[in-house]
Parts: sequence; structure tokens; C-alpha cells
Amino acid sequence: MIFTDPLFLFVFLPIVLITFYTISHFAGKNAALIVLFVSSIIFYIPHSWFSVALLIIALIVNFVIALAITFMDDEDKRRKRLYLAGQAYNFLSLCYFKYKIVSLLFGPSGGVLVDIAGIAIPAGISFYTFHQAAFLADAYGREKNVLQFLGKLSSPKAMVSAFCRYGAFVSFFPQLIIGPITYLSEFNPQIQSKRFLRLNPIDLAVGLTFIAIGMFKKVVIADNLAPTVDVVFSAANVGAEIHPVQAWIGALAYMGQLYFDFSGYSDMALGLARMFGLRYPINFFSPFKANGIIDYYRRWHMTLTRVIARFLYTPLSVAGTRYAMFNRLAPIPAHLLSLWIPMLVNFQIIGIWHGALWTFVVFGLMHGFWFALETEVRASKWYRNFSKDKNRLFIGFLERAVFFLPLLLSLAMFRSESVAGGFHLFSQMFGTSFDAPSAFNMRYPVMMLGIAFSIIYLCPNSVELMRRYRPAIMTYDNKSYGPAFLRRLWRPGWVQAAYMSVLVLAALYYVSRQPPFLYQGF
Amino acid sequence: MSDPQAILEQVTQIIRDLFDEYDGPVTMETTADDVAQWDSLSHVRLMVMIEMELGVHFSTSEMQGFKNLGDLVNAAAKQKG
Repeated sequence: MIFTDPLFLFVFLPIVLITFYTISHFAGKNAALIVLFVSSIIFYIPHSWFSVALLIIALIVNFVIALAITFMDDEDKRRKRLYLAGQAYNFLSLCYFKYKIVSLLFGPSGGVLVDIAGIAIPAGISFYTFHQAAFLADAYGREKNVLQFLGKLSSPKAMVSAFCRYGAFVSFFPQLIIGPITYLSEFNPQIQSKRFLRLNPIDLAVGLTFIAIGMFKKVVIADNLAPTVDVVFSAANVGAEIHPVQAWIGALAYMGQLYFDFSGYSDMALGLARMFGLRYPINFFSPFKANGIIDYYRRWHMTLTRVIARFLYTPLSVAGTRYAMFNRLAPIPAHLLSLWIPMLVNFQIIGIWHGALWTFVVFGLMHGFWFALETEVRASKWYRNFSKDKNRLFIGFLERAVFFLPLLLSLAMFRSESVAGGFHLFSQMFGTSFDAPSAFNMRYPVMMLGIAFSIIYLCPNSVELMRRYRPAIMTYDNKSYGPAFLRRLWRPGWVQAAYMSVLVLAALYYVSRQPPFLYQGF
Repeated sequence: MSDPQAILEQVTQIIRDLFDEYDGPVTMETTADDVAQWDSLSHVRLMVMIEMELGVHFSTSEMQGFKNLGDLVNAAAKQKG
């Protein structure tokens, strides 16, 4: 199911909410978490039975290994082996099913293996794999929440309960398919709290508001930018001549579409979870208002950034820095080992995490080089001296002016159907095909772009709007940018209800079209 | 456990060398936000310099988990015994 499906919103969600609060009232926390687990599996069934089976096997493997390594002694050599085996299972199954490694290696003669790998990519596999890999790492590192979360395992019944709790943690439907990728240290304290399970009207109000905002972003803005994006990128892929203005509109429209699609989804995820009294980590905090690529990644898909930085970039950078400093390397090789190589690997993984396409590889290279370069520039004496006595407003505008174009181009490459198509689009944006035939009527897309970018640069983001009610767990501490006088606060009341009704009515008007969420494909 | 104050003094020296433009106070409460030059790259360098100087070893999760210099100094003091 997807969140904008009326069957989900008007049938599934109310039934699960009523069952959850009723069961929790009569049968307590464990039963309520079983309701979340079972309903999440039901939510997942329409994606395919095979995906359900794969998810349940992954849950069992990770749960059993987490259990074993939690109760083994640190001195036991099998503990590390078992942990590595668990992570190998997670990442090999991700590579196998997502990247079709078997079909690539063995071609069509691989028999049964190719048949299994050839099926559609199981929905959400990139997200729940990272989610469970982080959990397993926490169990291995003896994170204090793990023991409390597993509880006393004195009987088979307690064991089943603990498994269902784990199932609810990983597969809870608001975050199963597209994240946010959550840590146990964020989930466990909430379910241990006395306030969990208490039906609180403000949770429902905040949750519904997030759902209204998210639906509007996805269905009204992102989906209305989509047709323009499709026309321009298909034309670029076949090498057609495109009028420069239309090429720019296409690239800008995709920037808007990607943001409103994914952040709309993330708002809905926060809202859905909040209706069950749970807060999740924030994934977006006005990324396009960022002052550079470093700031951007603290605001864009933050839960992916932090999990990859934790498990990949930081260990690589620490190892590189240790090597460079112990061996007293010269500054250039030292920087290569401690920054450039870890950064390029980090962004290559972020790129191909989205799928096995060359466009993602090029995107990863662009962002890797850019991030490392910006880190060097910002750390340089020259830049610090340059920015020291300048007006903050001037520096802010300058940084954003430098930031915008590479971001636009790299996101266009990300969307392109081929690398050649991406470069062709760039050539048309900066080209002179002023006599190319018009590919679409520009009035409507330009109006949608005007709305989208006004919201992006002028409006508070949904978390700022709702900040009186602690709407999300802050993944990074980010500054609020944008005009302060427009940074309104949401309070339950008739005025806000009227605004939200407009958003919902507009979304319902468009909802019948139902294109899928972009990030569902990753 | 080694004296945290003595370790803080050693750490202060390293911070003065690495962040040569910073001349504010260095205390147990100092964080990366207080020092303009202290970004994620120089954080890793600082950790490794402290490891080399004090003869301690931090895991990457420890390095990411220190909330302020006090956390770091106490972790180092604990290791030095």
C-alpha cells in the first residue's frame, strides 16, 4: 500500500488505529506492539508475498543473531564471527536482490538463482537492511537500549513477544518502505515511557496535520511537476534539441519534484507514527535553503547521511588519518587518505544505494568531489579571512549562489535516464537551440515552479511550523533559515484547521491520479 | 584513574596547536561549536593527535559520541587508569 491510496487512508489506517488503542487498553503494551507488527505485514503484503517472506527471514536472522551476541561474552571469539555473518547476510541479500549481482555475473544461464534475482526489487529493502544493520551494530556495541528492549527472555512466550517488538521496530508501516532509518536508542525509550499507548488528542491533531502537509506536497506539487520532468528528460535521453528555457524548466521542475515527493512522504511518515504516539527522526530540514553541500547533507535525507557517515565515512577517515599521522605523510597524501578517498567512497555508496545505474555513479562522484572541495575551502585560511569581516547577509547570498547551479545539475544527472542523456540536457541548458520546437505549454509548469520555489525559500518547514509540539527527533542541529516573520507556529484551532482543510481538499482533488513515490524505487 | 585536569592541560596544548586561530578558553565544557576551525575533518585529526600524545585508543563510535571535551578527557583518564 502507499500512503496516498484512499484505501490506506480511509480504511486501513482507521482500523489499525482503533485496534491499536483498544487492544493496548485491554491487553497492554506487548499486545499493542503485536498489532503494529501484524498490521505492518498486512500493509506490506500488496507489494508481493515474496517480499514479505524475505522481510520475515531478515527479521528472524537479525533477531536471533542480536540475541546471541547480546548474551555472549566479549572474549568469545564466535561473537565477532556471528556479528560479521549477520552483517554479511544483510548486505549480501541487499546486493543480491537489489543489484541483481547474480544475473550480472552469470547471465541468463544461472538457472534458479537468476530466476530468483530476476524478480522485482523487494520494496523497502534498502531501508530495512540499513535499519537492521544499525540495530545489529548497536547490539554488538552493547548499546544500553538493546538489553532493555529485548527484556527478560525466560520463556518461549517472552521470546515471541520480544520478536514481535523487534518486528514492530523494524517494520512499523509508516517507515518500512521509505524510512526514516531509525536507531533503537530513538524507538526504545518511547515504548518504555508511561505515556506510550495513552490516547492523546494532540498526537492525532499533530499527526493529521503532518499527513495533510505531506499529501499536499506529494500529490499537489510533486505530481504536478512530474509531467514536465518526464517530457524534458525523455527528450534529453533521445538527444532531441530542447529550447534552453524549457531545458531549465525541466531541470528545476525535477529539483522541486524530488524534494516535494520525498519530503512529502517523510512528513506523512512522521504524522502517521505520531498518531500512534511515536516520534521519528526528521529526514528533511529545508535542504534547498542550505549554504553549501556540507550544510545540504545535514538537511537532506538526514537519516541516510548519518547512518552512512557512522558506518562508512568515519571509520575510513579515522583509519586514513591514523595511517597518515603515524607515518608522517606530507599534507597532500594525508588529505587524500583522511578526506578525499573516504568522501568519494561515502558518496559513491550513497549514489549506488539508489540503484545500479551509471547516472547514480556520476551523481556520487559529483557530490563526493564537491563535498571534499567545499570542506577544504571552508577549512582554508584564505576563506576564513575572506569571510571574517564581510556582511553575513552578503556571505549567505554568495554561498547560496555558488551552491545552486551544481546542485541543480547533479540532481538532473540523478534523474537522467542515461549519463549521455544527462550531459545532453546540460548542453541544451547552456546551448543555443532557440529555434527548437516547443515541447510543452510553459504557462502551467512555470506557475507550479513559482509555487514550489516560493514554498521552498519563504515558508517555514513542517517541523519549524509544528515545533511547539516536538514533532520529530532532531537528527542534526540545524539553523532555521528564511524570513523569520513568515515562520508561523501551528496551534490547534479553527484558522489552522481551515488551512489544513484547503491542503487536504486540494490533495484529494488530485489523489485519483496516484503516481508512486519516487523513493519507493530505491 | 589519571588526573583529568592534567589530561585537559595536554589536550589544551594540542587544541592550541591544531586550532591556531582560536584563543578562547579551553575547558571541560568546550565543544566543536565554540571553535570555528573545528569541523568534522579536523575532529578526526584532533582525536588521532590526542591518541598519539596520550597513548590511548578511541573507537570510532566513542569519537562520534563525545559531547564535549569533558567526555573525551574522562574517557582518556579511564583508559590510562
